[in-house]
Amino acid sequence: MNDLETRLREVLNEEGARAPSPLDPRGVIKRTRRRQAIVAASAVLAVVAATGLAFAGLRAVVPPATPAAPSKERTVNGVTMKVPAGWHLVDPVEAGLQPAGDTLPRLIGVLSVAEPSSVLPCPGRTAIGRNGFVLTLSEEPLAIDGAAARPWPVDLESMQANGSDSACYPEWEFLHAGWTTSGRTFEARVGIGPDVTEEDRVLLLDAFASMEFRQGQERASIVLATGTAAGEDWELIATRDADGLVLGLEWPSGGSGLGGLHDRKQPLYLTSHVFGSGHDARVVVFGAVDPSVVRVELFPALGGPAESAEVIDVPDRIDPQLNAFVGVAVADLPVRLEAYDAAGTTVAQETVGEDPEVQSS
Amino acid sequence: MGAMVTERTHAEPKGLEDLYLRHASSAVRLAFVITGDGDLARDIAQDAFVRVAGRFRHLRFPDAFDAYVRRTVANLCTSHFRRARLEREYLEREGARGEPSLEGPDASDGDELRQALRRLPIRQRTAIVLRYYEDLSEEGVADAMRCSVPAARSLISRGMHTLRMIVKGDT
Repeated sequence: MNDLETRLREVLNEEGARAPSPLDPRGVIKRTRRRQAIVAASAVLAVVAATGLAFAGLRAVVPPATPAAPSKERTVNGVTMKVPAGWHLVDPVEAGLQPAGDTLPRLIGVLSVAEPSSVLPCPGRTAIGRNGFVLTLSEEPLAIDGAAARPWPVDLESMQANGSDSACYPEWEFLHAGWTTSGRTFEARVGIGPDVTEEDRVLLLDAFASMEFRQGQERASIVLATGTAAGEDWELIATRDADGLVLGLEWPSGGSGLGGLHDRKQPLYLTSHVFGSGHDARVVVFGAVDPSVVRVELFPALGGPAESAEVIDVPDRIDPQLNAFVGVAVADLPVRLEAYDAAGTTVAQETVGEDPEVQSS
Repeated sequence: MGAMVTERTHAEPKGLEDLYLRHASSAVRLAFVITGDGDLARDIAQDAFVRVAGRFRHLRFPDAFDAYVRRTVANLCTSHFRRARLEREYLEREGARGEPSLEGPDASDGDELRQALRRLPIRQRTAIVLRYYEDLSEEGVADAMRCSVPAARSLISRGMHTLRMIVKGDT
């Protein structure tokens, strides 16, 4: 180890020793539980008591029974469903499953044979056990691309989930579907216990198919594109805020954004995120371009194949001036980008992965 | 998704708090060494914990929780400075004078190596902190920063070169 490395380690260790103590755990735990509750409920797969919803409110659950009476229409958050008698369709806010608000994605309805707030997040430990089910319905940012943009009606599809060892979902089967209708995008997830009767299963699928949707408000947030890089799914989301267009790349464990684009004059703004590592690493480059740009090409540093980025029209209600682009390339950084107009003229060049965050000293 | 239904074996009802107490200090230290800002480091460590535990990563990959938190801290630090750069550019364009400081309030103790470290681009600085503070291998740095091993090696190498030049120039 050379002298600089030794000194560097000493300095870093001194810095680390000066770090403040962490924040009080109570606030952190509250935030974490809130996030877990939303994730758990919307996935129908919550398995932890630590969500805060766990056993505190657990109470006697009405034993499941095949409804004999006809279905009744019930509406929650602009979605109307024919609910068999004895079943429960609840608004998650009213049921205390999530805080009020209108940020998407958002759980907007839960259907179960027992009152959902007493069942989630661990139905396997309640009276419904193996012969119950839970359907969750969430509203997502408006999709204009990808599987979630499919028009209604859609069929529920099987989810790869192994609940055989789960005490909360013992041997449950999971189904899901995503679709867009009435200017809104939804995702439904269904967990079905192994002992649910065939009759209940049919009623459940009928209830799902009976849904009708009220026209959504014009949302200032939409999914522009979806994809997979190095095995990880991502979504490119466009939002309008006070400073204009904000582009966000979201993936299951995090996100990256580009904002402050109000009144921008350059033809190209971008940022990037690298997924994976080693030979499988891929860089997703995304950003905003002015309307003159019709094509963006990515050129990896080590001479890998050039990749074309997709130029996407951003709806005028979100930004009338700018469009977006997103491209995926082998993560041989730096990656050079060239933007072209309709005549094939290069109107902008940028590079990512080459000390893009140089700071002022 | 299958892993999400794996029954938890590590987190009991008090588990989340224990988990936080077990990992928060190291997350704050890492964020502090990268950012040099105590308040920011605490916020980033908190966000990282909420993001990782909020998605039940501690249940799905209990042994890798540390790595997830480290990766998320590194990502959040990078995102923070990217946002700060955008804000700075915006202010510069608008002719404003209030340039946001990218140096933390704790960064002015006169040590040239410490100052040089602060002046590195955020990704180089993060790579160096992960390599020499967290003692990660180059593969570990690449994994934490979600880049290729050659890219991580390049970040470390360029960062060290810059540090060497700055320190040599100052002394």
